[in-house]
Amino acid sequence: MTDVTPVEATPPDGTATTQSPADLPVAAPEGPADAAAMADPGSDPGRLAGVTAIWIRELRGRMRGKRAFIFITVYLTILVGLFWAALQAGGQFWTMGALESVGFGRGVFGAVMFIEALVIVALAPAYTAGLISSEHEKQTFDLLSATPISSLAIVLGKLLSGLSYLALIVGASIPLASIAFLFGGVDVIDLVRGYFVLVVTGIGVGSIGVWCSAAMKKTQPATVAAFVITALLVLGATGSWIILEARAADQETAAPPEALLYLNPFAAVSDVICQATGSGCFVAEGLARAANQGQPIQPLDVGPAPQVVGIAPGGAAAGACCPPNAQQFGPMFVPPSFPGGDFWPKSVLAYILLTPIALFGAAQSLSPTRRWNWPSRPRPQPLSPGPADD
Amino acid sequence: MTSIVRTSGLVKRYPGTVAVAGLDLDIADGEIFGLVGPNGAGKTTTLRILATLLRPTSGEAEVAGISITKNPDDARRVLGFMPDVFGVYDDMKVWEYLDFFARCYGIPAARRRRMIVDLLDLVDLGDRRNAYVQGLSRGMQQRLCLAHTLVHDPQVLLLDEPASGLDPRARVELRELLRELRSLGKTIVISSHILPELEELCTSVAIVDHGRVLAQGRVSDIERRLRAGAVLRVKLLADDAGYETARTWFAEQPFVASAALNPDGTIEIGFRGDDQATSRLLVAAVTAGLPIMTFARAASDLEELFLQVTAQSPPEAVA
Repeated sequence: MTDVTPVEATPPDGTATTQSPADLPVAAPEGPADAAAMADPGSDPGRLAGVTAIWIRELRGRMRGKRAFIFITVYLTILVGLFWAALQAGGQFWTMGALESVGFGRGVFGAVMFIEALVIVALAPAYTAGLISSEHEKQTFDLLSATPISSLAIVLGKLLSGLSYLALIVGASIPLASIAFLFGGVDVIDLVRGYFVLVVTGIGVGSIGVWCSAAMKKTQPATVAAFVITALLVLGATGSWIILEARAADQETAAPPEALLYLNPFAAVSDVICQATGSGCFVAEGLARAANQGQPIQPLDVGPAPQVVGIAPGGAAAGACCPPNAQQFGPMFVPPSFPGGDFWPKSVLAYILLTPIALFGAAQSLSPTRRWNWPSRPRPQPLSPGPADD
Repeated sequence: MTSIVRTSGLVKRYPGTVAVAGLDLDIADGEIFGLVGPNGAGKTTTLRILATLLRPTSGEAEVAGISITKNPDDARRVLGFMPDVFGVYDDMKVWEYLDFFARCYGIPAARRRRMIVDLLDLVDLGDRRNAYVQGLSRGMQQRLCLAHTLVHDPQVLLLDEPASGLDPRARVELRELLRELRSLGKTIVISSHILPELEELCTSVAIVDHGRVLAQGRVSDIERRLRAGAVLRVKLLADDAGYETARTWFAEQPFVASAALNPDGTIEIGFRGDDQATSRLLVAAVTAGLPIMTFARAASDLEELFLQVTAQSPPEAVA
């Protein structure tokens, strides 16, 4: 053992106290803020600091070693390979005409958006479902739980760390998506809009994963639960909508609520692509068909005025769907009630509402002693001196 | 001394079991307090309740005057907890481990750096600063875990079986470290069922069984309460006949309840007198010409006390 010689420290009142060198920095704070933080048990300096503490610790663990870098390298190599193959299939860049170039640019943008949506749906549950359960499995949760970090800070720190790596993966594809600008047909705002949808979706799906992780306390069932819930929200709800819509068309009843599709990021991304490029508008088309009780929408040639691009069978004028240059590319399916660009904000809003619910659920699931209690909940009896049992 | 840890009527029920059945504790500031009891006595549950990791079914507990049920966040700032079984984070260096917990308590960066150096020196891991935590031996991990409880300079340390799984050398080192921490003003509550270890270390103990405190106080006080008097052991420079003569002489003296020859060559005297009476007995024995080599009060034996106390424990305490 290290021989730590006690040091006599004399406070102003002259009372000698014994301290070790190890204790001096802790026992003798440097400034008033430090002193308050250390001496006053009621002060609360660590609540927000806890988020960054957990974030940094998780990133140190995740980014240390070769695994993270190898994964990103392989992922980007695959993306670049797909892009190169598409470019080869579409002809040489320098021999493309203007229309071909625009079409290729839009294709790159749409493809990257769909791939990123897939990456988020596939990886966000996987990266977040083990974040809290692994603390239980490694028997480190008690150590963390005995610190004054709030439950919400633990959950936020974990979510942030899980999504940071995902953000790195998604962000690494931005240069590739930006290549679309070289070919034309896509605006910067389209790219920003697309990544905004992806980020909000990632946070929402990640929150579900963290909730499962906190509730299950074991990584394997938490991962399964996170994927099942995500699949139900994304695919199950969409499938239900399709079935209900088909039934409604047969029986000429009211269309199913479009809210069933809000948590499907592919629907939101397709709407962004539709708004940006005028293609891939299957969500808007489907919703429009449902709104018209299964009647097909008549495609019309786009006229000179870019705003009026479609007319529903009932004769109602459609809203603007596509960018001005969409008229160059022939007839468009344009929904009368849900034109491109109207759907994705609702999807974003749905995820924004879902996220705090999932995070609150996760914080409540962490530990019984860390739950937020209803004010009416009875407290244990107050301390009162009683006869000793011995 | 003022109380720094108090529990009153602490109860923790699980379905079909009562782990803690109305536990009352009163621990003075600056003590090394041992929670002694067999497996399943409720020691770990009690420590986990005090560490705010478990909510009591009923009853109340305070640490440094802070209610652990009403203000658990504040209570966490004045206590450090070391569980009996704990893991370590993968891919983390020793200094990063302490840095993480220091961040959790919101300790500023400048002080964190110095504190990590000091704490690692205190637990003798200064040369392992950049080693990975999972690569440390069990004893080193135990010391590192103890260091993590100190990052926020808590008043109370709750250590659950801190010596379990350690080799004898590591146990001795841990014991020295705990004594050093006590000299720094920490109150240490330590649970163990390795009684000789606690006997050497603790200033007070509570013998716990079936979720209740059966006896609490200094080992010598408990012994005094349990026994009618002290046990004196006398060794003589004499043969068997001399021992028998001496035994007879002691048996006739005031306050002596019994005098018996031990197989180890000593006379064991059951004595009901106080310290003055003990002194008078020794003077009388020397004056009577008994060839006394040693004359001493028998050392208290926590193991013996524990067996004696738990033998009286009501089994119905456990549901």
